[in-house]
Amino acid sequence: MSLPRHLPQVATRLWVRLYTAGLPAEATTSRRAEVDSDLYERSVETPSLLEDLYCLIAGIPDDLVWRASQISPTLVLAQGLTLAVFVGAITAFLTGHMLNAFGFWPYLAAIPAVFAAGVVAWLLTRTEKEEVVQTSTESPRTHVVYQRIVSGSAFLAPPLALAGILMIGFDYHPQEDNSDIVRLAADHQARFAGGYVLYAVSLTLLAIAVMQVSALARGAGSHIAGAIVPGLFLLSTAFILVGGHGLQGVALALVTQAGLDAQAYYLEASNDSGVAFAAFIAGIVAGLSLLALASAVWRTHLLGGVSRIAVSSALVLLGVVFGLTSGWTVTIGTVLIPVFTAIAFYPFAWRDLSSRNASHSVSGGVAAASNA
Amino acid sequence: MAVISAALALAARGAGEFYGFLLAKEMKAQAGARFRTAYGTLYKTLDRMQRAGLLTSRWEDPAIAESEGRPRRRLYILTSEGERAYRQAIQPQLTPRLVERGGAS
Repeated sequence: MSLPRHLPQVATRLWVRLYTAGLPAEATTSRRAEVDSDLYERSVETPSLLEDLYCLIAGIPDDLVWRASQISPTLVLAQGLTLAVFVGAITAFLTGHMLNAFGFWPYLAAIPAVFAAGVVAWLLTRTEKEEVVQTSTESPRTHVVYQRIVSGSAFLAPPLALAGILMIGFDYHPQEDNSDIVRLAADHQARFAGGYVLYAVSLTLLAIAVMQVSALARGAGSHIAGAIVPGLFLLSTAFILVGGHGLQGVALALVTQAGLDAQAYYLEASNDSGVAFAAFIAGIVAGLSLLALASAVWRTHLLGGVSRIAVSSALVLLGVVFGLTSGWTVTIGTVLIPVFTAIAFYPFAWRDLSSRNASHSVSGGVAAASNA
Repeated sequence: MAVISAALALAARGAGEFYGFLLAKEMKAQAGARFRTAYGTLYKTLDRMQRAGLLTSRWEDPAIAESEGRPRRRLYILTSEGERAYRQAIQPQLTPRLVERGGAS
């Protein structure tokens, strides 16, 4: 077997060992043996390097979801949040150095990349994968309308990210001397670069989260998505506000401070990003606390008989309106939107989590996903 | 739906029990797709369907695999619930057309 032909198989085996590591022995052994068998069957058929690579790469999101379904939802959420913060920190560090070396060009170059990432996120999470086999007990028409609304929202993410980056890039003029700006950016790498890069990344996260919510709203029985969705929404909305409030602060500073120069402009931006990042952490803590509270409320069936979708939609709307119009401080807005969003989507999460180890029944209207 | 549809097609050809690779091949043929379903997508879906009672599975006898010089296969069987769920799922897709035709006539 030639090296290129062999490579996807080796990579697949390594990947399977990685994502099954630390799981219960039964799940680990079973998955590894199943993929080993599959790899063998494929190897004796007509080889296709491209297909083997596709089968590995396209399945990675599902592998991660499967792994998450094998462990405690709380642990999944904790791991997800830790990973997000870790990735954010690494991103901030790397882009800070990129700024130092290349100025603002990486940001401008990132525009098509962010757009492409949004499209890829949408494709990977499109709902055909989660096609519902069984019907839900809730009104199909309501599901369809709700699904179309949230799915449509996902399309806003890439253009919004594009707009965000353009807003930042607008103040960089290739024909002029930008040494001050580049120097300031280099001096405030973590806060300055991190705030805006996270802003761009957040929109892709938001697209993924919206599609996951869409799958849940349609009744797809994806176990772990319910645990991940509130966390993703928490992160993405907070991230967006980091960028949004940062830009707002810059605009305010320009209007109210006479004689403001480029240095003050960017210092203000980086300070605002730092404050908003702290508020974002506070938002996560508050959101998780309220998730626990919402869990208690939901388990006691205080909202029994009321449409989950109606309650969730109303809460999202209330949260967005309240968060956007509060405007008193950066903190209030940054904390409240994730909190309301988390509460609003908890019903879906709870339904999902409660079905984790339950025996599903067709007649009970429990939905299951099957379409690959 | 694609999984059950492929499983039913395999069963119609005498393969009452199927394994992942065979299923992926059938799904690819049915969909006219360029590639087979990704590993992660396929096995996650099979896992979910099994939890939902739409499929059952067992591991192949090691002696058979050994005699054929290959790894053991995990063999799946579509349950009656799986078949019923499939028929329920395709029902709504047919109903509106029937109603539409009925209303037009």
